[in-house]
Amino acid sequence: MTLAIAFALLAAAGWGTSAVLARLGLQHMGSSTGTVVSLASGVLLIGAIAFAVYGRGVFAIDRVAFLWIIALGIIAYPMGRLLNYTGLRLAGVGRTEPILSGAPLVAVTLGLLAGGESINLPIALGTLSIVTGVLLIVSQRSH
Amino acid sequence: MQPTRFTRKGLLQNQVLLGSFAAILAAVCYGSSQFLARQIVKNQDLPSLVVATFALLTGFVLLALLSWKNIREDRRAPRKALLLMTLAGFAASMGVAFNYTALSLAPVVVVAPISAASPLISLTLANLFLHRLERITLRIWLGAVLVVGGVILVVLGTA
Repeated sequence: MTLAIAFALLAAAGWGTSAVLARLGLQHMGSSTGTVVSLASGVLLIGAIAFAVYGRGVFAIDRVAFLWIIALGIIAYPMGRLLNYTGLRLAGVGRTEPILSGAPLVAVTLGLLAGGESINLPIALGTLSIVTGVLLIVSQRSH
Repeated sequence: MQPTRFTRKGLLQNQVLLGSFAAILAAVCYGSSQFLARQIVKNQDLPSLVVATFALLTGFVLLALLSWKNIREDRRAPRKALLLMTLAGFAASMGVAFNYTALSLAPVVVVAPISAASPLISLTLANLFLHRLERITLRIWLGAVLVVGGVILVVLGTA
C-alpha cells in the first residue's frame, strides 16, 4: 500500500511539474508546436515502457479496438492537450490546472448518461464543490 | 457614438477569459477520453499502457500533419523552449505511467484522491518558479482546493 501511495504521489508530481515546464516553454512557441513536441517525447517514453512490459504483445490489437483507440487519441490529444496548452499559454498555470482537474466530473456525467451509473450524495456534493471552485477561479480578475 | 477603447488590462482580461474557456473545453475532452479509455480497457481487455501508447501516437501523427505550417513557423524557437516542452511531455507521461503502476498495486479509492492533488503541486511550483509570469492569489488557491476536494468526493462516490 505504501508503494502505491508513493507512485500516486509521483504521478501527481509528474503532472504538476509538466504544467509548469509547458508554461515556460510556451512563452517561445505556439500551442500546436508545443503540443506536438510534448506528444513526441510522451509517445517515445510510454511506448518504450509498454514494449518493455508487453514485448510484441503491444501490437496484438484487433481492428475494432484500434478504431476506438484512434477516437480516444483524437479526443485526448489534438483536442484535449492542445486546448490545455492554449489555456496554459493564455490564462496561466494558476487558472488552467485546477479547472482541468475537474475532468473526472465529465467522465462521471458520461457514466451516468451512458453507463447506467447512479448519482449519490458524495457525487452531488463533489459536483457542487467542483463547480464552485471553477467559478471562483474563472471570476478572478487578472492583474 | 463613443469609440471602442482597447486598454492593455481589457485585452489581458479577454485573453485570460479565453484561456479559461479553453481549459474548460480541455477538461471536457479529458473527461470524455477518460470515460472512453475505461470502456476500451474494460470491453476490449487491453492493457492501459498499450492503449495510452497508440492514443498518443495517433494524437502526435494527426496534430503534426494538421499543424505543419505552425511547426515550420516555430522552427527558429529557442532550443531551451524545445527542451522545456520535451521535458513537459516526459513529465506528463511519467505521471501516466506512475498512475497505472499505483492502480496496479492499490484500489482506485486509494490512488485517485492522491493523484487528484496534482493542481496543488502545480500551484506550489508556479508560486516558486513562475512569480514573474503569474500571481497565484488566495482566491485561486481556494478554488483549487474546492475542485480537488470535489474530485476526491466524486471518485469516492463512484468507487
